[in-house]
Amino acid sequence: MAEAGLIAIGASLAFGLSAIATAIAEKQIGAAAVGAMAEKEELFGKGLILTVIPETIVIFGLVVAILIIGMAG
Amino acid sequence: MLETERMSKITIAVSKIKQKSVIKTLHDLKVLHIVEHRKTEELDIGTPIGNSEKIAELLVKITSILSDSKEAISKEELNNIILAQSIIQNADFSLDEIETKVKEVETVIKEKKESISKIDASVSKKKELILKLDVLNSLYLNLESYKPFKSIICFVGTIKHKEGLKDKLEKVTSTFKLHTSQNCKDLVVALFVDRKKEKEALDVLKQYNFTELDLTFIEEMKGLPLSHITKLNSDIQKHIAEKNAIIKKIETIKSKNIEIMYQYKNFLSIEAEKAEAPLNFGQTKETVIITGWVPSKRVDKITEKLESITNNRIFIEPIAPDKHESVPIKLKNNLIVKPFEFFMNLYTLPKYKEIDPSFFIFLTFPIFFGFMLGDVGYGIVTLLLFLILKRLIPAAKDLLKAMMVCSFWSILFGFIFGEYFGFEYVKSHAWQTIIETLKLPLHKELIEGAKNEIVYEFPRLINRMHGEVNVLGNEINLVLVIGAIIGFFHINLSILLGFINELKGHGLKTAILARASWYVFEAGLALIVLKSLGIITASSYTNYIGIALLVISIVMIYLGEGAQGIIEIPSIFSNTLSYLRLGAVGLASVGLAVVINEKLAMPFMEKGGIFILISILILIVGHGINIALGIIGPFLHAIRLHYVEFFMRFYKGGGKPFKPFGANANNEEESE
Repeated sequence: MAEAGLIAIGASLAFGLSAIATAIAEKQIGAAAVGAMAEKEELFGKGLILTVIPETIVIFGLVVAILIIGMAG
Repeated sequence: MLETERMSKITIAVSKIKQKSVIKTLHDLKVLHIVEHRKTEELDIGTPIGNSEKIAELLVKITSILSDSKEAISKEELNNIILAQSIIQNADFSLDEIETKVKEVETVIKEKKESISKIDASVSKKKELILKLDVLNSLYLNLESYKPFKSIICFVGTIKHKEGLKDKLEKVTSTFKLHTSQNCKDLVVALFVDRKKEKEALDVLKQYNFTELDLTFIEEMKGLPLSHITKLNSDIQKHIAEKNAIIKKIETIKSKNIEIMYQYKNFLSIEAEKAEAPLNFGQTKETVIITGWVPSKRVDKITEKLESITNNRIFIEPIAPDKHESVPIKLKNNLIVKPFEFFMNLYTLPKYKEIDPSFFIFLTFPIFFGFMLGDVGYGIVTLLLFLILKRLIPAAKDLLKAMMVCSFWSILFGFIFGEYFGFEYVKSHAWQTIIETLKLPLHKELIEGAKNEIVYEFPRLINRMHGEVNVLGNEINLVLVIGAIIGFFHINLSILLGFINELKGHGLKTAILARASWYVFEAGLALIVLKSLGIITASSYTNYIGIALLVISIVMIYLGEGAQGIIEIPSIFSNTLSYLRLGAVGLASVGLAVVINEKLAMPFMEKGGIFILISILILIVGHGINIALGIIGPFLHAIRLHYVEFFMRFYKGGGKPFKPFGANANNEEESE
């Protein structure tokens, strides 16, 4: 049982920390993108894309979390 | 479909006499993207035709009338009028007609506004009078009595308090009469005193913070103040009624004219566009030169039309564009793919020689979206939502059409995953009779646990969340694997498109070195992996072949793309892995749905009674939020997979849009 608990903590750390990392990255990109958009509205599309680029980090985090849970099974 | 519209550059030379009719024809045809003429020694910039200053002036006036009139009618009516305007195209007015009408409306509104301000002034004057009379009112004296007499003078005003006032006055004089009365906030005093003792009496009053009321307003008024107040009040009421009537009249004038004003505005903006068109032309003393881009297939038509309108007194010639000149881009897709051009406009249009990826976005974007939001219930809800939004926001029509295709795929994948609002099975006791009478072929399964329940599972092809019903240890990885496999094919398609683009742009050698090299790399890698996994078992085969292929491919990449290409090698792995999000985002969405259903709503539902209402509320709010997230998340991730991972290997973009003369925001459709 203790083992399962450790696995759950590991999975949640993998996911939670990568989510925080994504948030930090997106915070700065998002602010810059909004700034750029205020100057030139056509940049919305590119700004949106640049903002979601760090989203990959949290996806990897989720995948790793799922793999860790898979180890438990 | 994969190419953008082919364009031809033409130049038109015509006599100035015909300029106006040529401009009109071009405006009606809406096929010429005019290239701005730069002033040169031989060719000056054209001068505006017609009465462009007057048009501009009238436009300003009409816009101000319109912005003033917008409140006169309801928003719905306004939208209807604007909508009707976009349909009427060939309205024709003379400038004089417009000018008279505008002047008329302006003067009428101005007059009415003036009379309103007059009424306002008189009302505020009367209100002031009422305030003053109010002070006197509490004393109950006739207004005549305040008038100055030969020997008696009267002071009226307010004081702080009246203790000892009378005594102090008695010390000064014996001939006085003092009236005091408590008004709502002040102590009002009226002192009638002998004129000879005026100064002394005033000094006494001043000790009590006396503020004198100016009595000149009384003039010829007689009787008690109250009667005057009543009369003034009724006058004010009358004025307000008058004012309201005038306001109403103004509103009717505005709402009656708003439609014609919109017509004028549209007409005038078109006229202004036509009048200012020559600013982009070149001109000599007698002729104007117009240069621009026309879709190649339309060149004959535009030539024919212009020749017929000028009796062949026109010179039209195709000219070779400069090598580095950017050609305006018009995407050319059939009706089904067209909504997906939205994503190209959002990002950047392709260059003239590039492949237009709209078709590939049409192919894969909805599948990605559907794969992530694969739920029959969510698919239907979002489909209805997009349908309603399409009605409400005509501007976002294209995007919503594309999203409806996505919803369709959501429903389809919902069936594949066997998910209905996050439910993958129904409990036997509640649904048994329904299932048995309808003879639904649902799989019966036992959930082992504290309760040992029997459930009916919905049919499915792929397990996403529930697998063998318990959450831990199910086959959750399958969707992730499918995501990565989709990614592999998508990225290889991207390399293939890159190969075609390079072939067109830089020739076969670059195409092979910069793009086909990646296939060699993949092949080498695949051989090594297969060998080490023991799938290739032939004894004569060694790993050297795979390694040799890898080395060759890396050299090719270096020759094709330089050091940057070498740096990009790891990105092919991370990009493929990035497609894991196809499964992961879906898992997050279905996970939330399952939590809403099984952990939040169902426990309440089982309690029965009033708790059923609470659980229904939880279901509605929870799934509402999850659907909102389920639209935003999959949308962003799907579009990002295209913009980043897919476009990276073949797409550069940066094309300038084709903006034919005469096509404005109201009327983008090209007259075929």
